[in-house]
Amino acid sequence: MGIPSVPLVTKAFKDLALLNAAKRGMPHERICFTPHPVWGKTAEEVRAYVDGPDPVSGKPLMKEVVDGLTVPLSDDEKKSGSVSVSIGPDTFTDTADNLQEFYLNNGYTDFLPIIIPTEEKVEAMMKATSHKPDEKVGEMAAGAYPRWSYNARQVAVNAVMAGCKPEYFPIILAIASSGVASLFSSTNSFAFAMIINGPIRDKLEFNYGIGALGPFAQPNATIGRAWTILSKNLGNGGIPGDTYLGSLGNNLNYNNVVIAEHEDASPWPPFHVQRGFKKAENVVSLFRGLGVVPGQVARGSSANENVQFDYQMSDLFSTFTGFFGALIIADPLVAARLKEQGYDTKEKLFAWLHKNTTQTVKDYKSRNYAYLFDYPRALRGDEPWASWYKMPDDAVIPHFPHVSDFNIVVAGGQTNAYPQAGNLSYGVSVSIDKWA
Amino acid sequence: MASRLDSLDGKTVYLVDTGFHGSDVLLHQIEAWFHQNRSSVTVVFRRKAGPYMEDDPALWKEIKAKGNAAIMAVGH
Repeated sequence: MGIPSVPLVTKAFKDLALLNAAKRGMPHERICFTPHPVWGKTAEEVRAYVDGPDPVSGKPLMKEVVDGLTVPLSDDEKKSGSVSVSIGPDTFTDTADNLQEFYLNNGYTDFLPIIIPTEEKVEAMMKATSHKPDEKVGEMAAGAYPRWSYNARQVAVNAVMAGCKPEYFPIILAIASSGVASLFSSTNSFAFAMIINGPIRDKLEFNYGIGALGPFAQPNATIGRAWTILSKNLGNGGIPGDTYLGSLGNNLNYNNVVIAEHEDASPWPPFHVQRGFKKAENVVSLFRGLGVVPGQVARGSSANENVQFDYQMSDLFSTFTGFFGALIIADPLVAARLKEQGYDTKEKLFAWLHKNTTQTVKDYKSRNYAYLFDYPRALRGDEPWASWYKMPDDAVIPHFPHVSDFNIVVAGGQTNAYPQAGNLSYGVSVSIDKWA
Repeated sequence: MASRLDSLDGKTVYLVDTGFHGSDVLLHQIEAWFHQNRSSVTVVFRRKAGPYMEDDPALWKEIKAKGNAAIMAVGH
């Protein structure tokens, strides 16, 4: 801003605040700290914070604040510049065991054993693409950090580490080109998902039948894992307390939710066709959100011949945050039943769900995400949030702002009519063929 | 870092709410502290527009034009 300023941060984020200031070229930034948390405290409790000490320095907080704005800058504080990051040597040599330890101890893995990315294996990976090793593939950041740039060879190293076969490499490049990291700094412990469409599902032997979401096929397992490993090594993600703050973390981050669509068993056009691609094209589509939950518990049992999956989904979605979207992962039996109910297009289903998954304004305003994300938008006049915040508490509004917040993908082995659902928002679809 | 002020006396300090839970409560208590302990300081409270991860260049412009210093809270 060009005028003196002091950020106030709660003590729990001390390391993060100091690290980020340093990475942005201000290792001496005058950051003041309050006790943690501020959230949920009364005015009287917070006043005690203001009148008390900075829990990091031990000095009176408001003296720290005033001094931060008025004490002249030291010579170190006057310095300006940018911080460069070394990526280390291009190659290095050691025993296989020592290299395994090296990758593990330096935080380059997901703490499972990796395949050592030897020059031979990286070269084999590169042969699966027409793109040159030094060609820039994309940029990535795991939150509000400077974006890191990377080339095809660097992506190949990470694909090898994750256990990918060379023929999977165009998919990894497509994911990397999106710039979407599968590890995100938020305290919410985000989860990520991908949908694979096109003939490549069969060519690479993805599992989209029995156990489609389970650990039963190499491409499903390793391609998702590669996304996380490259998000760490090429996107600066996944450093707890620094670039990762998820309070509980998310088990899905190990290999993400990889869904190869069971296209032939779906009553509707495949997901990528909805997004404007041709059926014969190979496409990966990425999602971000909070996770996946089972759909068996909601209204209407699968033992009931009149089972109504639309009501089941609506019940389930009413427990989701409206900040992220709703992705139905439908076994083909579920999809067939939905079509029997009259949903001969996905759009009809999404319109019904949007209309019938509702909440009162009072309940909406009480939700954490509404205060944090929607209320600021309402103040700015963004719709529909601005209108929602003007309505009476007993008014009924949609749980999700837009019809486009709903998506559906068909996968599974038809051993039973069970859906799952993700509180996941669609992000982007990327051509895999472009990276072959 | 920008040069510091000689004193806050007679100056305008903006208190910027980032939108995290409780930031407003904290900043209003800081506002009260200034009224009680440094009454010569003019305090202006503003909530940053949009969710916490979005920039608000209009507010930064206003602060630079009308303010002498800023306190931002809270980093969660």
